[in-house]
Amino acid sequence: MDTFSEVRLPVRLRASAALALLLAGAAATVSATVFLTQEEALRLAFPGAAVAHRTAFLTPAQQNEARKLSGDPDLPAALVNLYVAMKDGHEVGTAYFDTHLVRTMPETIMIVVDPSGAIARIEVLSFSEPEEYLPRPRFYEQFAGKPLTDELSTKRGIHPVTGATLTVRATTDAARRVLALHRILHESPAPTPPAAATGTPR
Amino acid sequence: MFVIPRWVSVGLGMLLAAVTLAQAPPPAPTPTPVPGSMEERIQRLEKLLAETRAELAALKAAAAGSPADARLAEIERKIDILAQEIEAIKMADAAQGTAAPAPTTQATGTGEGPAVSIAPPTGTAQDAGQRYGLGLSAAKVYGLKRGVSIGGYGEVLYQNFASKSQHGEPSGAQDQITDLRAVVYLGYKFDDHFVLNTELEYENAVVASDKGGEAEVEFAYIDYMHSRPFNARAGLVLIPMGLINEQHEPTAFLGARRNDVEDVIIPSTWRELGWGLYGEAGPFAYRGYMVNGLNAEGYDAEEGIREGRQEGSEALAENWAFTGRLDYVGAPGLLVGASVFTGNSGQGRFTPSGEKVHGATTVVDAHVDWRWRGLWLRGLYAHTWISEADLINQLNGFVGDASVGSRQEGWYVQGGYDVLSLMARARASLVPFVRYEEYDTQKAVPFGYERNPENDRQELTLGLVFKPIDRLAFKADWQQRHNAAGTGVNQWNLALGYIF
Repeated sequence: MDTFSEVRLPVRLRASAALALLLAGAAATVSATVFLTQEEALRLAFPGAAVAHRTAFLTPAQQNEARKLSGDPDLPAALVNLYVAMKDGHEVGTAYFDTHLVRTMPETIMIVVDPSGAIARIEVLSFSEPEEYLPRPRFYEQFAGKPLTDELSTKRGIHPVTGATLTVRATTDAARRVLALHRILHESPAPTPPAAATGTPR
Repeated sequence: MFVIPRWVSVGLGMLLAAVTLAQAPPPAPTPTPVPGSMEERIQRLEKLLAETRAELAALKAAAAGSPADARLAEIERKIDILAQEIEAIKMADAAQGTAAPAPTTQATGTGEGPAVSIAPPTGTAQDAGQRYGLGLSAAKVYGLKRGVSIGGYGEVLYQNFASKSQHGEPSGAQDQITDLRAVVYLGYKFDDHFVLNTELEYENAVVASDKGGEAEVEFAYIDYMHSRPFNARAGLVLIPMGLINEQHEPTAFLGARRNDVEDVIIPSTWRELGWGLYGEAGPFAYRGYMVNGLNAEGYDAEEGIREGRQEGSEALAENWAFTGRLDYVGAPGLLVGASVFTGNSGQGRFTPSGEKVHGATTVVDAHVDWRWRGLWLRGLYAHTWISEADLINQLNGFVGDASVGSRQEGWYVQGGYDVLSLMARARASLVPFVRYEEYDTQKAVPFGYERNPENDRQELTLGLVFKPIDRLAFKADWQQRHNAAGTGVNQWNLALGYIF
């Protein structure tokens, strides 16, 4: 069973349209302060690179494995959207978008994973909690270069921020979740070509 | 002593409002709308999936027994996953009680900041960009929808007092358990710039003539969100001093009870009516407000200025005060800064002999909070100066060792360590901690009065805080409470705290 989508017409068209609607619906639900659109975030992360959107469908076993790797109490969604950036014929990174609750309201962040499987950067796209809950940039810079190890924890290698404890925890959980998914997806059989291309950021 | 005439205070407020409004940025760019409501989109998606399923069923019937059959089964599985995702979205929408896109103001708490505020508003793309290290063209801030928000926190506290005092006398203290606080946050976002934040609090469960409960508005203010460096706030505001006053939710501090230095010297939860600015510049965060002054008629020897707080309840406004803080927040895990409150407290009163009481009162503090891995260290020093303490004594009829302290002082250091940080991937936390504090509300008294050694206090607290999840805290501690008179009474405490 393949992990990445390679649905063909006519079902492929249907599925793509369904996914587009799904994403549009999700974006509308998160009616937060928007700092960056998805396209802007990708352009920021991958200047001059070609970015392709892929859809991955996890098996139940993969979901369980992701939960185990991340330490997250909840199963990750079976549907994973990822954005693979290529430049000069080489993969330069993969971006994931994670929406989660902070306290009572959601935030959406982009987590970019470098080819070695470590975090390259994190950007906040939208944030619905008070700005006082939002850590400063220095907090997010701590994640750069960190792989999925026990050090990726607010109790260890990630220093928390007074007054933003819940955001710090939510961000760190998301980082672990994404790195776990990334590892599983890259351990699965060779991915098929991108299901849909988002184009080259200019 | 810094004394602010009333006309200057009012004038500054009007000027501030005018300047702030004059700098209002143009309306936010409107995001491209997605046609239809969430409900409509889901309906379209469901219809599309239903058509896809039907088409798939037809294909399966045609391909029965062929290799394509397995392929179609996989496609069917994927469609099922999409359907589950739709279901999850629908449930989330229902949970928020909205058929249309969700409201955007926030339920919040002082444990992590004021109740409701919104990240950089309309026209602040540049600030957002700076915040996240983005170029101006890459960062956009879109308009927000409107809505009401709700949140809160609560505490239950059990106190068990020693039967004997420090020097072996019967203490007479009775053990007590109480629903100490039940708090609701309500917020409302008027538009991209103006946000209302409120905290409504019940203390000790019942408000009645035969009970000790209180119903209070802890804060209620309007935020004007302009930009990262400059935002304005007006209303019943929390005095921005120390480490507890603005972040007093039970999950945000160690100990079943708040530390006493920040209960007496900095009388948390301290709030007054006023207006001011707040924001961040570089690695620094600041707040500065003009507020109504304290009322010296509430000062006393044991609790210092605590009962001089006016709490927004028919507050006397003959005297005004300035309060502000500056923190370095440039390094994750570290907060270090200082704060001040200064202004007269006489509120136009005269002593029985006819002397006008000014009662200039200044409180300063320096504080540090540092978290590194499982370690959490915190320290604070606070000092209060009260001029004309002798006139305040005359005003209040105090004699002898009942004098108001002309100088008051307190400090504490606290250290805790999350032992579960030693376990990989532990989500819960278990923090044994120790705190030592000293405070004296009569560090100095006016000539002709005496100090009461009971007000020179030292406390040692040994405790444990267990958080199974971030928003729940179970606490236990033992407190050695001594004073220079030997009449202190030790106690141990249990507490349950929650936020939502």
